[in-house]
Amino acid sequence: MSEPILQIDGLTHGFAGVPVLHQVDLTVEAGDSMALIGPNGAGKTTLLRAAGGLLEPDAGSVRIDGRDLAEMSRREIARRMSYLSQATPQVFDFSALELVLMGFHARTGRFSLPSKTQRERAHAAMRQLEIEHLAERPASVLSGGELQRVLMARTLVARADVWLLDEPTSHLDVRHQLAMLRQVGGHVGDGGTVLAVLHDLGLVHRFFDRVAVLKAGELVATGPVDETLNTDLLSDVFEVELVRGEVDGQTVWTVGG
Amino acid sequence: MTTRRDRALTSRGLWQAVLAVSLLYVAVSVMALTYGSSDFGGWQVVSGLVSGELTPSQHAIVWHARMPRILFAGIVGAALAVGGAVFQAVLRNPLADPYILGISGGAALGGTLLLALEAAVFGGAMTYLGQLSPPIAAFIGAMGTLSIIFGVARWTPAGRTGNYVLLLTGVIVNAFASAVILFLKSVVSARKAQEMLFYLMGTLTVEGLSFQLIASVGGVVLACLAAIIWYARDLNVLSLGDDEAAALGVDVERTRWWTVAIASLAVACAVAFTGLIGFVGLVVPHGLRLVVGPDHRVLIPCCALGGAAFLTGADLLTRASFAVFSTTLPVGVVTAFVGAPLFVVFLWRNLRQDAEGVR
Repeated sequence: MSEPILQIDGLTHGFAGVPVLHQVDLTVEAGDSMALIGPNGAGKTTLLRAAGGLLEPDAGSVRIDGRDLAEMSRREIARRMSYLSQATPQVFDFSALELVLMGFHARTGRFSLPSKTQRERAHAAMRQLEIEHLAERPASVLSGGELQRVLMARTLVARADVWLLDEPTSHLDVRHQLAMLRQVGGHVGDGGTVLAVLHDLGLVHRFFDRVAVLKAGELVATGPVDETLNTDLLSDVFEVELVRGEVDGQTVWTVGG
Repeated sequence: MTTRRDRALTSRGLWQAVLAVSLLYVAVSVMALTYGSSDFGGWQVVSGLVSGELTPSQHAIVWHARMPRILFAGIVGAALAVGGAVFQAVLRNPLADPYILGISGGAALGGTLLLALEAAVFGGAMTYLGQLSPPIAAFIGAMGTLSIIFGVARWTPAGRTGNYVLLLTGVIVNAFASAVILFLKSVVSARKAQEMLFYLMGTLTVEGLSFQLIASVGGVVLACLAAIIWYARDLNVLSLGDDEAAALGVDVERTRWWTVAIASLAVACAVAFTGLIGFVGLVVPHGLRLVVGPDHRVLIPCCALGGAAFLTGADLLTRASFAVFSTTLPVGVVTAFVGAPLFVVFLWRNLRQDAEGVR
């Protein structure tokens, strides 16, 4: 059997002496769409950042196609993986289009300016996310949701195999949440791989094949979504009684009691 | 909404912007070359230079008085403006100026310390001190504070070496250096204190300004500029945030280290001779961002030329003001007089553009 595309082994990390992740092993196969869920402070973002090589773990390793990230350059990693962070305020007024064009950074030379093809691809990605009309807007006047979609358009143009998405729907209204997550489906359909931190369990059922559940820095469950998520597990992890239901054939979770 | 041509950088846009700012710089330089308190000015200078028919005294005025000063103002202005643009991007702080990391504090401390020591009698020690000049002492001071700052940044536990460590250490070093300078000013003679004050205000009246010195400082500043242009695209991404920059393929720590070190070197070289000239590194990048946009591939070369033009123009004003005040003002006073109101205008325009949603 071939190497898994993303292999995390014995990952342990802490900040200022406070342990955040403890001995996490996680395997993501090529073509997987995996959701990473867990309560606040469980270590989801830290795990995602470590997976993207954005922090050097205290112990353990992350490998992509069998290669240890610690031995790869930032540029090589960026060509294989796109990391979508939670939208942060911008200091300088790059336009939305300029932000999207930065998705080509790892694939173009130091002195190359955006080509016509790159511009067209950037516009196409923005059209897909319904933000083409914002192309010339400076970043500082974009709303959180608009900026999030701009960053997603950047992920689209970067054309990396693996997407690491940190709460990609946190600033979005319901319609745009669906539009955003359809991109995940599209990427997986094209043979890509997605690992995403998500809070909405209904969306996990609808758009993801697999799920990994983190609690207090430890991985407590991983597997296909429908088999893995059950009342006992989720009630234990989130420390609130959750009830599973079905509406129009879609799984939903609500707070019981 | 109407479709407008997108503003993302094209090579045509890049060259147009650079050409426009170059023309501005050339225009200001020609004005500075042709203006003077002697009755030799205007077209006389231009025609004299073109035809080569200059009297010995005219030759001396142009080649030994005005030209070195104009060239030096250009070099210093370029270093300060590029330094400002780099620090603003790396520290992600629009208020960062070339001095924010303590370069001013260190340079000023080095220079004033030497001036103070010269005043004190140190017997045999003076033989060694005599070898030093304030510029060299200032340069040593600036580089010394930089090594302290980078030392502290490296020393802090992993995961906390963010830009704010650099920023906070710089602020503290500056504050400490100011206190020492104040102490020195209090204990030296009034005449020496006056000399220090002039040095601290920033002046382009540099003793022994030879073409050799200009070539050396200019060479270092140009090399630094070329290196910063090499990193220009990385600066764009770095200004978004550490995680974003790393995710897009930039080695954050390395890029931050090199860009800050290179920009600091250029600034230290410049301020070592002139003392502290404020506002150039703040006003020029902010003004140019409004015109050419925030992309550092166009912003950095434009800042170099725009900074050169700004300081050359400010120096022209100090020379012109001689007629009014019968004394040459420190150029730092003029850059502040012109820079502070300009900065407010830029800020207001920036806010207005934000409100209108276009750049």
